[in-house]
Amino acid sequence: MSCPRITEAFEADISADYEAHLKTCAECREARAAYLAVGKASVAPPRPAGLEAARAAAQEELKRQPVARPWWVMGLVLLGVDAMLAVALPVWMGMRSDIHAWVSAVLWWGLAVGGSLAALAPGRAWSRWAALGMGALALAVTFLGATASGTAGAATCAQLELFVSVLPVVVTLAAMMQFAFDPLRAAVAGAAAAAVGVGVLSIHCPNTAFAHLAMFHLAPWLAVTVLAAAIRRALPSRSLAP
Amino acid sequence: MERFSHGDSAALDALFRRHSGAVHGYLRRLTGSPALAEDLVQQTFISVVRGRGRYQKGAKFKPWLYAIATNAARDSHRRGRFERVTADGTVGASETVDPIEKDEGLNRQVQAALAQLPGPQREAIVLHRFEGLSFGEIAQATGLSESAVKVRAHRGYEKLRELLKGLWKGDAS
Repeated sequence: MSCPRITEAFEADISADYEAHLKTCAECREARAAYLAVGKASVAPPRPAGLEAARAAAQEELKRQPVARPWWVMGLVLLGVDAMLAVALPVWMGMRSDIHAWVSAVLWWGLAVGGSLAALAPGRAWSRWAALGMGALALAVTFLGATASGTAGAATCAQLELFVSVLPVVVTLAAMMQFAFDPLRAAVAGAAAAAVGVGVLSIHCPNTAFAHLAMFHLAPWLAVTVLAAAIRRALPSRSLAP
Repeated sequence: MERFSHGDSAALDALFRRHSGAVHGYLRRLTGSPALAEDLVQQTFISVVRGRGRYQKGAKFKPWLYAIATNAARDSHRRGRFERVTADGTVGASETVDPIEKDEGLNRQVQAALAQLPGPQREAIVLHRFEGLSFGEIAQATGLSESAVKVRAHRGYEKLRELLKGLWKGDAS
């Protein structure tokens, strides 16, 4: 778009000033001509008789579901599952007491809560980017507390994280199937569902070696995020509402 | 919309009567197939019923409805249900575009040209030029910024201009 006024060519009514501009700007003139040419074929078709079946199907659906279910109902269910896991598992398995572990865990759980709500809420695209930003922050804080020395250790943490992620991912997928697939929502929902387990590990696992955190805390989180988004893409949507 | 949200079937009928024809026209232009468009209208209105808990109070209904219709078309496209319109304007071996436009030849050429545009550009142009949505409303329907919608529409019109060369005589007022 070289002419800054080009979008005015696509308005139904143009100003006298723009009409004068058209005489001197070939690009706008051509854009206007294309707009008008397409408009010549823009007469609305009459309503076809076959739509009666669509009306009847919609009415039937309304009878089945006379009360609208607000989006946040599934959000509350998801938060309940997350909260149960985040409280019960550290209490059962034991907790570290250092401040860095808690800051890290709180950030991961912040992603779990904020990301779940951002993925489910209609509109508010900014909130999904904010949730991804929180994920990046949690990642950075986790690595800042890592020690360069030490070994990767055993894969028990990865197994635990994958196990903890199963229920949040299942509930998240069930909630996400209630509306249209959107790649950003799916990625945020997957990251949020997988974050519960990372948070639990942050205050439970005493191994702070960089290699261990990367391989057995953060790589599984990334894997669950990608897997959850891919599964959501493959699943059908019950409604195509945004 | 308020009454319909509380399960009022007469309100749903009123919404259907008011919008279904236009939504069908929109989907027919996006898909090139009247029969598929009928299926997608059904899917759209069932989604309206099922997804009405996601409708934000105070928002305009029309952009929300077209967002659902657009999602229905995209979903159908993803599953390979589109019958592509060929260069001569036909839409399949047994189906043809209804003879409803004021200029059948022009309609066929425009429909064939629209089918050659990338999906996002086609959506922006059909919503803007055929359905009469403002760029702001299209932005709501597609989840994009208004300027992004304008860029898509402009690129689409540019391509249409190339594809429809010779169809008009430079009428630019």
